[in-house]
Amino acid sequence: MDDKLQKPFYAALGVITLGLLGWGAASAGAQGIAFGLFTALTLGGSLICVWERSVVRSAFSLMGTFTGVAGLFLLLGADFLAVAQILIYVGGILALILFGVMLSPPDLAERKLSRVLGGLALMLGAVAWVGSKVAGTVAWATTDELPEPTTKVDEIGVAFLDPEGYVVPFELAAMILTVALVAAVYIARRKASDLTDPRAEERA
Amino acid sequence: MDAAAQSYSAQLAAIAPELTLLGVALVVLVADLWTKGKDGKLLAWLSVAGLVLVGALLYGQSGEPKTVFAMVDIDQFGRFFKLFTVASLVVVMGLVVNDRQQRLDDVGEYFFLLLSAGLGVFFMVSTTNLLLLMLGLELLSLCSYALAGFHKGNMTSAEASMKYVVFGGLSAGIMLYGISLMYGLTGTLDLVEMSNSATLAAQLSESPVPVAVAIVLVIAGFAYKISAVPFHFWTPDVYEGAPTPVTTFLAVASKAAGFGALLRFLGAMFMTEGVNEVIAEYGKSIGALLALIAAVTMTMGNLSALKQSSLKRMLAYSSIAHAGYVLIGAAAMTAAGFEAAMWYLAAYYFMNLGAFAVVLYFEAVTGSDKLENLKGLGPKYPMVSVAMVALLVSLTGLPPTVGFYGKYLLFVEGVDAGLMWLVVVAALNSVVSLFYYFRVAKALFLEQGEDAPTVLCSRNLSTLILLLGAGSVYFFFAPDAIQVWAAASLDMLGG
Amino acid sequence: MGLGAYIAVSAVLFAIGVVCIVARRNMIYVLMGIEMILNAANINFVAFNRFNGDAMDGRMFAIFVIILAAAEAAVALGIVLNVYHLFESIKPGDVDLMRD
Repeated sequence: MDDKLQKPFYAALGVITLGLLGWGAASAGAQGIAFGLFTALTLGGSLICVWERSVVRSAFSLMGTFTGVAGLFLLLGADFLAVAQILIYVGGILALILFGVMLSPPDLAERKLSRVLGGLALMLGAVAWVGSKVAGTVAWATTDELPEPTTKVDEIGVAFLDPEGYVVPFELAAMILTVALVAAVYIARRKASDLTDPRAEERA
Repeated sequence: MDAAAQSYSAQLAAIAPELTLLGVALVVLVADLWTKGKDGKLLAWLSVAGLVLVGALLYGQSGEPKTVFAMVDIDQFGRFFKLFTVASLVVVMGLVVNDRQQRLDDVGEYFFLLLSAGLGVFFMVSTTNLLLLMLGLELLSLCSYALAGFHKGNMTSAEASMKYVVFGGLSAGIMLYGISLMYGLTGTLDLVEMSNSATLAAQLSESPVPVAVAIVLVIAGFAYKISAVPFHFWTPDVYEGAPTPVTTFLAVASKAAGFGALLRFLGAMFMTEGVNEVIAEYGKSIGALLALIAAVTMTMGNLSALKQSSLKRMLAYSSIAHAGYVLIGAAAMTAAGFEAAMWYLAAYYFMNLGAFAVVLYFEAVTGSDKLENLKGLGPKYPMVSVAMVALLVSLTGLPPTVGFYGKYLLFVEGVDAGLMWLVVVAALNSVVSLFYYFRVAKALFLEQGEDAPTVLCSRNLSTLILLLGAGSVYFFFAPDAIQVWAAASLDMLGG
Repeated sequence: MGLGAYIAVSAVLFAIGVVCIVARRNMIYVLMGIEMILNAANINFVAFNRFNGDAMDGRMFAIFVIILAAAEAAVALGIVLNVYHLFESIKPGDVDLMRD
């Protein structure tokens, strides 16, 4: 029954993509088409990720999500972030996840379609419900006229080291990365002595 | 308060304790490499000496609250929680050294991660900037994940770290999403600026739903750190599976840090001087939400603790219940309520550090944390057992202990804030908790166990337990010492 | 494109991320779901930043979120590796020794 749904699922994704592209083109021309494309990549990638039975396929479809988000960053004028997103997410985190994928033997029974579909219906329903409550009344803090987006790589660099800017978070982030390295290496590294359980007596 | 007028070096001097702690952590890491991981005792002494130095720097720190580096708030409120963290880290280090299940070679990472976690706490309790708050919280979390799994060869330890990382990652994501919405609603990341944001006030009078969504998501992140319902699922498994000193750290320092950040969040957002009236009014609704969480948390914690057979797991549920009690003070949304919450945390320091130290002690004696193994051990280990009874009385909240006085303060402030129903629930809960705490005392003194030979245990550990037990009685008779301190610490509210 | 469109995308991505964590029984899916949620938050930060006069706050926050995501993924993968060595499985259902 699962395999029967495979085709309709991808067909629905295709229809949604076309709809997004059309809606984008109608509402904002070329930029709208780009928005529709990146949105389709982002959401399509994540939907395939929860949908697919094989972890490998899921992990690769997540690449679509990350790339799509990078594209959205570009549209929002955050070019540095878009590049960082591609480098770190697609190049780093996704590669890390693929290492993890090697740890899980194929298990086609793991996905329970009812759980995935039920979860999606529930969560998307909740988001739609909150969205409908919020949509009319929400007033985000926005400026009336949008300034032209500017390249800000140099400004970001200066802000990182500016005492009135982000120097403390910057240094703290350095510490976080150090800790992450030490912790990850400690937990993952194996020596013969590590494999003896210090609490072995307890279980005996 | 004028940051521009401060020179760079003056700003650095203001965060000297943080810098010192960072330095100590790195020195320990390098010393571990230097000694090739052979000398755990040396690293422990280095860490404790460093912590004492940090504590001394903090102790000498006083004066007007000020903001340095645009986002680090140096004030008495932060100082309270930083000293709390340093004091609990010292005890935790003591437990590590006395942990029979812990080899003392190759433990450099243990101390490094504990100290780094402390650094995370330092930043998360001393800022109103949501970015720095999040980074501090994540530093604490990352260290805790690794610490929970520190016994690599042990299956329950590995399971604990995995559960911790799953729930931690999820709740950090939810909190970040909430922060992004708050940023969208106000255009700033600073809580004090948010508290008098005109757009936020306009939004609240138009419709509070978007604000509610954002704040509830952020509070979910705090609820995870303090293990409040419905973000408590990780607590029993992680506390049971993690090495006992790490459990102690999570139950005391990490939880207090969560409360520190939560109180600062609520205080800066809804209660500072010059807060917009509409926003302050909305704070009452958030208080009502917290009151609800408090009631459910303490009830769930106490009822689940009743049926536990492992002392460690029972204390895990008990610590969930205690989070519920402390939340009464936060839910009151008054300065006096916050003060009571901080007093209770100070009491919590003695009773929970003490109780977990006893767990460690009897783990060394019997080789497990099962309650049934404690039968008849009271007369054999009289000092520790008597201290344990004092700690249990304090955990229940009976006189003459700090637990009683702390609860008394919380109940008074709860009633003052119009939370009579919550106080009744809490009082009923204390009665329930009597049953499971009494089971421990009964096992120790009133039941006959098998005749096992007396195991000689570290004298240092029993001294530590005695001190904590004595502290939990002493401060019942000298409550002012803590009260003055807690009251002075509310300078974050301004005025 | 208006701000609302971006926020809608991020909200849907957030929802799918939560489903990915809750509905699938494999640690790798949990990690992927967490990354989706963080990405959703980042879309928000950058979009709000853009429509709020293009100051720096949101964009800087987004950079730090990427850093946090990398750090968390590294530690989480280390832990998963350790769990795999001991349990020979990375399904949360199999890694469940402790019970009430």
